[in-house]
Amino acid sequence: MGHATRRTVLKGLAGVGAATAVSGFPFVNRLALGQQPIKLGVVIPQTGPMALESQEMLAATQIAVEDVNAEGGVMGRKIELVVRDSEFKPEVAKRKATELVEVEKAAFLVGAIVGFEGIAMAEVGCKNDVIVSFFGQNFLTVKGKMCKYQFGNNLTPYQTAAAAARFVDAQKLGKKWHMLANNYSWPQMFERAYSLVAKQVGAEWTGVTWAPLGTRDFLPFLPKVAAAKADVVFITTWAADQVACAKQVQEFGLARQAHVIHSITELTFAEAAGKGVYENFYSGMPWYWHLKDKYPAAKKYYDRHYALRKRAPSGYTASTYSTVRVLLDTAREVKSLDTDKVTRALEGRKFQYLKGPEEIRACDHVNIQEVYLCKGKSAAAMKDAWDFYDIVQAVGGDVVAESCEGEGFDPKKPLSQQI
Amino acid sequence: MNGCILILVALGLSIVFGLMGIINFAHGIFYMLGAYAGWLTVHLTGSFWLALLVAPVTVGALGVLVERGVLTRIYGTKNAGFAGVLVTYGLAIMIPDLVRMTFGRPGKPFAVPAELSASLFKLGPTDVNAYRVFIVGVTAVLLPLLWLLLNKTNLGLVIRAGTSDNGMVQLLGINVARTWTATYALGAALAAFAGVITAPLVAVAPEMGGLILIECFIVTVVGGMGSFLGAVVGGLLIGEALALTGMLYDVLADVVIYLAMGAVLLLRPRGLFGQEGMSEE
Repeated sequence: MGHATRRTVLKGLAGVGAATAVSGFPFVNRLALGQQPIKLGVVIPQTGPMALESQEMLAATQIAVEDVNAEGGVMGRKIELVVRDSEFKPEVAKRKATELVEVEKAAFLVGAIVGFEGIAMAEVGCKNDVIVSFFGQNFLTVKGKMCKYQFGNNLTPYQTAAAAARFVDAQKLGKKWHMLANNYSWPQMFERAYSLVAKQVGAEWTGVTWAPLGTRDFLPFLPKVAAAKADVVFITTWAADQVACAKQVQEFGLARQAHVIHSITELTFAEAAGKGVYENFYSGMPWYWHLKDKYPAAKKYYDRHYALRKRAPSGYTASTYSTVRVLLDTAREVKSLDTDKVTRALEGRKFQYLKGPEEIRACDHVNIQEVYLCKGKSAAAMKDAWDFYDIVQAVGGDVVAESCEGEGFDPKKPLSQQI
Repeated sequence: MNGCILILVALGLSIVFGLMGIINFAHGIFYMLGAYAGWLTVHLTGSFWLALLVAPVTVGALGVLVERGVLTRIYGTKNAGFAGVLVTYGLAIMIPDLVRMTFGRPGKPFAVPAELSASLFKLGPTDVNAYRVFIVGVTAVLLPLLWLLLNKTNLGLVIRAGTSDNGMVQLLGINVARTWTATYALGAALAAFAGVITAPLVAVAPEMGGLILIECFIVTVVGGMGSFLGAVVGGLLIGEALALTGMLYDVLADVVIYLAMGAVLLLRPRGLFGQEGMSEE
């Protein structure tokens, strides 16, 4: 072996230098990135009226991330949750989402329980080319109001209403329908869906009785509802309004005259109302914990959530779990954090986690899934503190989702090719 | 029912403003705390009737603590009125979060007592429940008692005199500080009583105080700040306006109380029964 001259050493060093410069230090990079976790940005109202729902959803997010990390993370990197409090204010949600993207370099954004938080987060995600996926109802699925990076695994208002309406039709509960609802934009979306499905199934739509948001006394509104002489009364209220409304509908005796259906509910509302208040009311939910007896994954999720929170998980927590899982599982599958690549892979993706099969419809990013119509139990029939309902029927599929044409999209093209 | 609840909550708000000149943003939390104290009493003892007593007494005592511990620090300071708004607003934000942290889930089950759950009679298509008659009845009993307290007792005399001219009452050597504490506690207890009697019909939740506060401010503006009769008439007017629009033209139910307030402010800025100059002080 000859002596290395100064010239050969320099040549060798130059060669190594050129090779590493071209390759971008692949070995060093891989090593460094492998140690660096991928940040998942979460914006959620940790303080304010939704603080406790937020804790439940954070528990679901944590379980989903633990599951993904247990399966090797994404591209060999662990997922790290970076959580910010939206304080239930749109301007704060926007500021925190921006901070997560610009300062924390979060790969994806998830969160938002209510509409105004979702709009604020979507603005940040769309502007910065970051995927945003909502925990709350997915209500932005209209052309002109969404960008290609927006997703939401929870139900849309249309799906929720259409599922309840199809359930009424399937169960032959009656052909004359009315709605009692709070008067703001979210329930107004239900009015459109109910009246459209009523036409499709030949039911008579008698209109809506509107009560202001924050109504304490629903009694003055109930005679108008009764005067409609409907076979079915859909109630579209949320949180404290729904609890007060449920109590007073029972007091008024409306359930003796018509079938009462809460378009959507959460387990916490029945808890707040008290045992037996939701008796004989039907309610729609994206998931109900009785599904643990049908799906082993749901049982596993139930046990872990219960261990963390000492209570049965609600429907929204299950949607939160699948929101996080499908996003991270897709990134792992395509071995990339590139926004466009992950977006394309999410479009049309089929998956199954805690309930029946789900699919992200490519043309509008709506999650085609089952909605569970449940019947409220009497206090005597409840087997434990959370046993408020029995599942009566799972209603799902394309039939309860608004068509892509109806939302202004081309059904033949993925959304990412339309916007 | 709504009118009765509004009267009870707005009375405290109005008297506190009339005497102390404080726009009490914390007043709604006493209503909410009354509902929670009632729930806790029923939860521990099973007695709704005991809750009717425990809730106003405990929340009234809390009112004493708030007045003595917090508000006394701003009396006599520069911009005391503005400081009062800031301090009570701070309490209105902080205390609901403390309740969330203490009581957990947003909402506590609170049923109508079994002995009052039956329907008494029908009013048109509406079943009138015994519990609603109880709310109206208890308010009808309480209001004359309060009127007697304010008009026929020494405490009432000082409160009324203080509402008219607080400075003069102090010059006469009357212990105004004690009267202020008693007034604040009375307002808190009234709100708590309203909270506990409303609880069986609504959701007992930390944010319930914020919702009613807005309506009660409107009641006091319509009735006249600091006026007993104003709070009663204002409460009935606003309560009935809400109920009638709900029955007759529901889409207006959102705005009717603001329209009523606007009309009163335009036609009679001091409110229906308010003293001239009171709201400008």
